[in-house]
Amino acid sequence: MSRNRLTLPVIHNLFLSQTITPNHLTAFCYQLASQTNDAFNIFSQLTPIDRIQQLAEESTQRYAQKKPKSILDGVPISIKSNIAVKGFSLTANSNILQNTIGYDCVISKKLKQAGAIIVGMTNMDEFGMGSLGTHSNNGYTVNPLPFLKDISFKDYIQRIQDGNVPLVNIGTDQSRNVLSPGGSSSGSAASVSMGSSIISLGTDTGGSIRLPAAWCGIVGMKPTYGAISRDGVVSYASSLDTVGILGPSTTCVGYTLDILRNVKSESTVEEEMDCFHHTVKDSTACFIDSVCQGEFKDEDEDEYGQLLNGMNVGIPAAFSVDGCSLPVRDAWERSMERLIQCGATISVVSEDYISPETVKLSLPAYYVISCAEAGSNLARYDGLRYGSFYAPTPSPNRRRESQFAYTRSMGFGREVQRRILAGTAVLSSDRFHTHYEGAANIRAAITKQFQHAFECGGHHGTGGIDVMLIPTVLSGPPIVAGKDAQPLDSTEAFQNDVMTVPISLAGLPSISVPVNTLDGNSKENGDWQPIGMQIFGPRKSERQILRAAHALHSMVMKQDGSSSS
Amino acid sequence: MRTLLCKSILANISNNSAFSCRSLSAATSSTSRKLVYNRDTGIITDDTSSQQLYRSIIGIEIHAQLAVPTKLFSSGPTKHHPDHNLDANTSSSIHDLAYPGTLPLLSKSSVQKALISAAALNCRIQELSRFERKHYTYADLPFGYQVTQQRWPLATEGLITCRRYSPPQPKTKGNNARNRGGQSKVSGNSSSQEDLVELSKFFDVGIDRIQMEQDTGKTTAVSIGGSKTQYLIDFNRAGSALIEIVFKPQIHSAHEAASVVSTLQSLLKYLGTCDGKMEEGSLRCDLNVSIYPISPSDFSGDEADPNNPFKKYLPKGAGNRVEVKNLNSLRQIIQSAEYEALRQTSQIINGSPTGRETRTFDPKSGKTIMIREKGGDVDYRFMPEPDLPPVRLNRNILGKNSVQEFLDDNLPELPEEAIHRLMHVYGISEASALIITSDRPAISFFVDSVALCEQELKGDNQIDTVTVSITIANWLCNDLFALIKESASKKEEKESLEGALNHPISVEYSNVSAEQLGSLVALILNETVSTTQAKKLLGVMYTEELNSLPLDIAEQNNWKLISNMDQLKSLCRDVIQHGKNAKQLEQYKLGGKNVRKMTKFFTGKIMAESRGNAHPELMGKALQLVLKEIAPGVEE
Repeated sequence: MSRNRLTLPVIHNLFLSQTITPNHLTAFCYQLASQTNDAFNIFSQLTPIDRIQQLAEESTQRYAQKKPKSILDGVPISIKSNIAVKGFSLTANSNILQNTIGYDCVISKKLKQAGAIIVGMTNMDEFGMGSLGTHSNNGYTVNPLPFLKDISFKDYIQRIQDGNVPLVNIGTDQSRNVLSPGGSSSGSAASVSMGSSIISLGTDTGGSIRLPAAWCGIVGMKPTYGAISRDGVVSYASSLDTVGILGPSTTCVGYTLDILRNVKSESTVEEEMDCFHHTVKDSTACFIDSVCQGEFKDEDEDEYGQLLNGMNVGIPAAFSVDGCSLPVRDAWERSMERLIQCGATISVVSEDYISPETVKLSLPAYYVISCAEAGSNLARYDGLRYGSFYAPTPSPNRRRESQFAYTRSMGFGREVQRRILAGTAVLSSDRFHTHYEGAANIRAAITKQFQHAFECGGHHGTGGIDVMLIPTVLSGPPIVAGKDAQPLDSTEAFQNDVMTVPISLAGLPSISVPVNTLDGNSKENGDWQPIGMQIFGPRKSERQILRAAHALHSMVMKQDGSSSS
Repeated sequence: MRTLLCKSILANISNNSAFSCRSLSAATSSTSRKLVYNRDTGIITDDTSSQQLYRSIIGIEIHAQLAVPTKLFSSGPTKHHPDHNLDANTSSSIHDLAYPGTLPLLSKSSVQKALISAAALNCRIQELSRFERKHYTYADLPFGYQVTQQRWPLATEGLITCRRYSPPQPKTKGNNARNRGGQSKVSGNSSSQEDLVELSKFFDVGIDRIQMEQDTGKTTAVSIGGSKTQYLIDFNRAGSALIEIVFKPQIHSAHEAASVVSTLQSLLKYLGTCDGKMEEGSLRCDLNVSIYPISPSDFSGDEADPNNPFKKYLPKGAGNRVEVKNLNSLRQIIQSAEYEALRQTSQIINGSPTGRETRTFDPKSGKTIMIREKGGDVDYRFMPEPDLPPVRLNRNILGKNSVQEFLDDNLPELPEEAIHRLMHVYGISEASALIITSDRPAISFFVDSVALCEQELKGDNQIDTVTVSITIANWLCNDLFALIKESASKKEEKESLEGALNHPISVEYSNVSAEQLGSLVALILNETVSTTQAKKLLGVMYTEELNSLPLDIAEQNNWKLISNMDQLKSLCRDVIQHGKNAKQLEQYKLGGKNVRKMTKFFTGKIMAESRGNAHPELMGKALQLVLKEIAPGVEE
């Protein structure tokens, strides 16, 4: 396992030059995934070995003929367990959905058409409900970050060619502290972090991609709500659920986004609604432009322009909250400096534009809306048509309603039941106006404030804001198991989402970038924590936020790389 | 005044009590009062004292399945899809079963048909409407919620003009098929001119809203021995597109309620937006029945049902509304409205007025049965549907730039307009116009037939348009529809559904075209063929020689009238002078009574000889001439 992660342009060149083949890389990743799974619990389902070998061989043949399907051809990827893929159970890591047959949804079709090789389905918090990766029917996922070693690029390639997967011994000591990888896309982030898949698809409802990306030291992007089809995604909170991408670099995320994004079909006649088309199948879809313009670049560098000349980066004062830890605050400031070094202008977005009160209320508003929608979306799971059916043992011939109730209380985990009950409560006729409508008003307010700030929130004379920079999460990953593990209150755990949910409520695109990679010196230092910074922009500004994120990430890698080697 | 009213209604009751009234005894410990309900006026009368006590007031909610081939939110086939399968649980997409990961995609044709229906019901069309989720748990509701339009419906504030319902009349002798259906006369018991509750032929009922929503699956209870019941669920219907039409409580009687439903049923069928088959559940009906005192002095002062959204439409003193759910025939609507009116009255008389209730109708006993009391109303936890954007009636959905443009192209002439046109432009009877307009393609069929017939009769100034139209209407409404009906019910293969037809009873499925019918009627009117021959011709055209012209068939079969005088005379001579008839000729020559008697005899013989082809009147004339020629001077 290496801190040095292979990126798509690098892999593409290695494949084209036949330095390594898809066979090599797939075998390496697959072996890494299966060997570490007992210890790390990253995958809840792995592709059968003969199937994955066949796919890798087909891709190897395509490269031999110099006819790869896309930059993802032959690239091992993983997919979060709440996305439907043919050949895998669609479980969302819930007991209630065991043996629910998956199918090829819009995005799994796109990945297959691009030649990507699916290693397996990743572990997650049940139905996406959780921030720590602990609420899975499969048990918690272990954050691999502390176990990653420095391997030089040359050695890494050598190992891949030789099929020499490094053994990972995380010890058998039960008291050993386990860091949370973040959730709910916990397995996805951990897999990319470890290198058992190059890219992973996740979903982000209130931060479920950005938070684990930050805590696993990788890049994670939640595009504009609707930019990637939700077809095949097990709904948690429909108005917030967004499919996104986790990867080792911003370039990787950008290339994958170009493959997955909803594209207005040229074949549909003017009157057709594009969301009906078989490449979208999502009425809430929106359409974004290409972020990479489809070119395969030889080099990772300069993909989005190293220099951010003319870019106005906003720092919303309202997000400077008390709970922000010192290292995070430092990292936030260093990130501003790095962006300035890249040529960006920094302006503070005053509280006149984005009110601290609205930001503060966003978290409860988010939980009201997401629980209401979750309660509604999960009402369908009764064990009658598909999924698990639990028959009450003493009297199996009870009424349907009590059979449903029994199945649901057996099939749903505790956190899911909590949220369903909360959701049922806020939709009841005596609470709807105070709770649900109240939350909807806050959502409208934060959306409007963001929009206004992007339009004219800059300093006098500089006008609008292109992107904003805030931390992804206020603190480092908590210890979820081991001798120092602290029981975490469910409501306290909600605090992890305070920086991500306002952006989710507004449906804006956001990308989390790791800003303090583990270097040689700090490795032994127990205080070290992975930190992620979020760059977000107005709706459909994916290209812009990727450009800023790329500059920031490149600076981090450059400065970090020089200090470690 | 009051006594007069009572008398007239009583008179009606005694005349027609068999089918229009029903009585119920409100038995208390001390007294027993017999109550009588008038199905036309909705008035409940004490039979003993003849005192009018209460009147029913009714609101209706109708669920109509839109006649579209796919579900409201998926490509799953409905019963209108050519490939649909009747077997249980075979016609659902995974979305219809609420399989995880599938999302709703709104069917444009459903919105279009809902819009056409709403426009025909004179509604205010909302260019922006929204879907919401209505939550409740039931095994045949796959999502745990129904997607509907509670707060932002597609259409509001409509109006339906209803033709007053007349119950099917018992068949009287001589009431042949030529007179069937379409009686505009209201039922017997209320036609008295003394009635103060005036029942006009038409009445208006307001429509509160029309909303689009999803249908559920279907649950069937099956007894599995003993007291055990098994519930079988068929999801084929789940997700089908419905419109719910909510009528204001402006309906006063059981027959008015039936009129509303039957008018709506024919209108939707006519528009092609719903097949209207109540027996198949394509049109389902819920009634909200309450009663109010006729005399204001009976009003206790306590307002019942304060949360009723329709309170403002109800007369003072109206009681709690009782909802009777899932009625699927006009008969059930009439019976349940009547039962409820009487039940609620007798409850009040007995001192225990009914509360807010939901009931169901038991067709076996003719009674309504309580499902639940509405003390603890179900909380449906309405929530905006997050998977669907608001419905905007724009080019994307309508294919036209505006609602008006869409309706200009897609909303046809409405049935009442068509009836008016047929009666006043073509001069046909209302009964015929009703039959023709009940099958929309029949209107243009009729118009085309008339045009062709007139063309073929060109130059014949004796025959005017009205004659042509009336004759065509008669042939179309009676003979041709009879043939269509016959071929529709003839089953070639064993059908799995009882009562299933090979095809709908519509001229669309007629083997005889408008042109063929037109030229056939032309042959009748210009006396080329007789009515009897024409019937044979029509039969042959319908079943055997589908593409032949009636004249060709007539000539082939020698089914033409003999109108040539010389030919007729020679026919007469042959018969009269035939040796077999010598006796009769001798008898004729005796004169007196024998003349008429024997003329009749010869007429029969000659007609038989001509195989019925002799033109009757001309043949009569020819016979007179021939007889005078053979036996001159015979006198009556």
